[in-house]
Amino acid sequence: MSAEQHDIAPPAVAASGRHVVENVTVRVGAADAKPLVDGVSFTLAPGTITGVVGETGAGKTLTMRALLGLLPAGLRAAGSLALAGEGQLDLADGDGLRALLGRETSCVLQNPHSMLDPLQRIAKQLREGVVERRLATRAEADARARELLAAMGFADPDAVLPLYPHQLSGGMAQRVATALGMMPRPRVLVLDEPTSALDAHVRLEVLGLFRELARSSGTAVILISHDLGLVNRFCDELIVMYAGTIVERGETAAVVAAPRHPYTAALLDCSATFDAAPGEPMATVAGAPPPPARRPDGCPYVPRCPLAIARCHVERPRLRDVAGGEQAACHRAEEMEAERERVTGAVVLGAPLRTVSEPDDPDRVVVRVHEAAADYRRQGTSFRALEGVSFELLRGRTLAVVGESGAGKSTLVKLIAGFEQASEGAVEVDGAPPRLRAGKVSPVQVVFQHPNEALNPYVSVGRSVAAPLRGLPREARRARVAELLESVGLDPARAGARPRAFSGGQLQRVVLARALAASPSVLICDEATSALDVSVQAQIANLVMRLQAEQGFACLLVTHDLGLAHVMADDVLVLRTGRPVELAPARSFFAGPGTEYARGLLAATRDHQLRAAVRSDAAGTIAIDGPLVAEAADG
Amino acid sequence: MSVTSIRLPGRARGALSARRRRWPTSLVVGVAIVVAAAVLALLGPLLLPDPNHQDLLTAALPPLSAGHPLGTDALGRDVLAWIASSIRISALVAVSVVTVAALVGVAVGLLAGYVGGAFDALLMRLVDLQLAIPPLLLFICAASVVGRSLLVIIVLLAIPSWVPYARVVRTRVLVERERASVAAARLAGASHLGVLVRELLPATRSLVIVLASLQLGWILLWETALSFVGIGVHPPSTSFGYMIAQGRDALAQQWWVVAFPGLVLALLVLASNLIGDGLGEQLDVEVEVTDA
Repeated sequence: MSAEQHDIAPPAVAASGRHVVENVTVRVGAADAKPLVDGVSFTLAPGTITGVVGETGAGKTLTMRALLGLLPAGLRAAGSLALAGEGQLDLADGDGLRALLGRETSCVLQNPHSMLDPLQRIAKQLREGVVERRLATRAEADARARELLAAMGFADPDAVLPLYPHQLSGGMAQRVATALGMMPRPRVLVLDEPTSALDAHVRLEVLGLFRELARSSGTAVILISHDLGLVNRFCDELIVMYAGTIVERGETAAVVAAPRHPYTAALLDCSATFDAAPGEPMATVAGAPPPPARRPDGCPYVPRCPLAIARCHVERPRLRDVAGGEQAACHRAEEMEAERERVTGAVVLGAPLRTVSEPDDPDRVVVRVHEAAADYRRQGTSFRALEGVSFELLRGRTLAVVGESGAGKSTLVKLIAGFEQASEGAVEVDGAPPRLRAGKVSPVQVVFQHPNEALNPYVSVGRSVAAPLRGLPREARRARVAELLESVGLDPARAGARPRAFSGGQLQRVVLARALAASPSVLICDEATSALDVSVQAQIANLVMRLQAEQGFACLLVTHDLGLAHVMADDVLVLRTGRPVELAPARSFFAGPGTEYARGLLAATRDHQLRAAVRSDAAGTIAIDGPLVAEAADG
Repeated sequence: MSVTSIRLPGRARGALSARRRRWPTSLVVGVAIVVAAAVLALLGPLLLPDPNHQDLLTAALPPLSAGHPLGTDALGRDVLAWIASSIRISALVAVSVVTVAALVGVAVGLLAGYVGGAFDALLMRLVDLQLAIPPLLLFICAASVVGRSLLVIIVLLAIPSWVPYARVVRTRVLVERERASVAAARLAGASHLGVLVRELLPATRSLVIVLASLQLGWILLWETALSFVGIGVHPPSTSFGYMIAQGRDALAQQWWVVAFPGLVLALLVLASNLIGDGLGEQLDVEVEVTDA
């Protein structure tokens, strides 16, 4: 297969000045094992950003780590890297690659604090690497550090240099880490999910800086991300990976406008949450990527592809040139345009769940929060985390609580769940202040952000789901657990398995099943989808909406993802630094928020949403390339 | 004994399930030593003479003498029989002490970490207090007051030994209690005790196992030391410490009386460390222990 790929991406690229990556293959141990990354080839243009997207396990990070010589122990790489105008380097030669690392290649990791030494001042950390490698003298390095920090948007670099990492906020640390990655003037810079921990407007700002820096320094930047909206907005070229291979590659605008692989199209549909109809099931990709050992011989996407034909099952499609300078690995790439509408369906998992609680007044107020305030005390000083929040949540309705970090979202969750008490005002659930009592199942249940942290790893998922089913006889309990697992689309036969046997999306469904076991009055989804892949996010959202329709619980949707709120919420509450900014029906909120801050928040997420962007682009009104720094920077 | 560093299980654990986990060499060697010692200890009473049997006619026989493969001491006691019997007693003491210490330490650590606040502060000051008292001084004073018996030795050795468990378990609980699974358990109506036993205790399991296997060797050394200075195990019970003390006077003439018990003791302590390290590798936990 690899030899054929050479015809398509000719190695004579020195002329075009692009860096060439050929045939990257990553395996566990033995050479006959099925590879995790299978013959990935692409080129990178200096001064541009190339986005790499795909679900968990697609091999995005492994491919890029193979280029850096930073594969985890036990994995072996093959393939080659040729920087423009230079000879090929064998990727099996880890030492050779690591000699380049910090000179020609560099990286910025997801968590900036994992790159920064907590005990060293920023100045020393920035200087150290390049001085040690004799790329610069100390004075040159310091000058470059200042220059980079200024380029990264610090008004006064000299104020940052003497600081320690703990004195930086998340956004600042990310920008310092990027400066660190750029210090050696690398020709290739890998950014692995560099902004996923940042607030929307900071994220736009940082990505804008990445792009400026790439342009001005001629660095070829690889941006690994799961957020197609961001990639669409900031990347010149796009690589879509699936099951260890590239399925589509091309200029971002072209790929987004006319995807040539059904998987790309499906990812775009799942990401286009602002385009979905509120209250209706969202587009999903059915199924999950196959694990390396069980990848089919034909096209790896076949089990999930609605367009698959007989040929797809037997013959693996090569990455080949299709229209518009794009490459796609699909036998039916040419027919994609006509079949566009068929690539995704609104799949809703699971079987209907029998309600066990008594019928309820449909308009009952489930949660009442009145002028609630909460304080945190730390070392004698008191900090007001929440103030003056009032709302009522009715049965069967969904309230989205949105805001950036530090807005008080988590504090509000704690008050309603009864983990903390309000210092002022009142919080009532089912007409009484929420209290956690031994032996009494709370009417408030929470679906947490990280499903693997929400389940006890030492007991079976069945036992976790059964935890709220107190007082039921054993047989009835077992039957109910099976029913609950079926209702979230999981095989009841797997009730005996431990959490580690499940994927993130499956675990989140287990968590949901446990919450449902309690027959809650209110279900709090606390960033319940933000740690999951886009396709899985939609599955979970659809599931919650279906179960809410059946069970009638009220839902408090805590999220920073306004697109999700757009689909799921009846009302929207915007919080900022612990104060309510706006409370409005979703319909009018998304038509146009009443406050400047909420407008900025919406703009920061909405204007890079995908199908909307495509459509406006076709109409010639909005350019996909937005402004560097969002208008949302301040509200 | 105090814990200087703990590494908690990594997130990447099990990420590469394709790679089969093998037993680390250190674990294999450690277990082999323990098995050999156990065989010797258990077969000793059947095959070897009574370790307390004195016979001046066969006194001070060198190793490889007929009927006495490791020789005899100045009173004619068989060195190999004495070693076999000492392993039994040392193992009894070490296992008892570690069990008591682990039970107390885990309970204290769980409570301190979970309850927090003033209760945590009080318990941890108790721990600090414990560390401030030199163990040997404590043993000598206590032994001179309450007398000498196997039970007294077990209780005395357990007094400072629970401390590392309390610290390690508390640290782990401080992390684990913030997990969403604990919040979920509370929402499902679990009691505090239920959370402690079902959510937090299992998370400390591998740490406690590793710490206990390391501590066995440490207790072995302390029991020997106490017996050596004469406040520990004494005849008719047998101990490495007693024999080494006895043989010390005639070290130049009968080196084997000191050398063989010393060698076996060293091997046992080595085994304890190897098993601790090996288990740590296997369970992805690292507990580094230093003498306080």
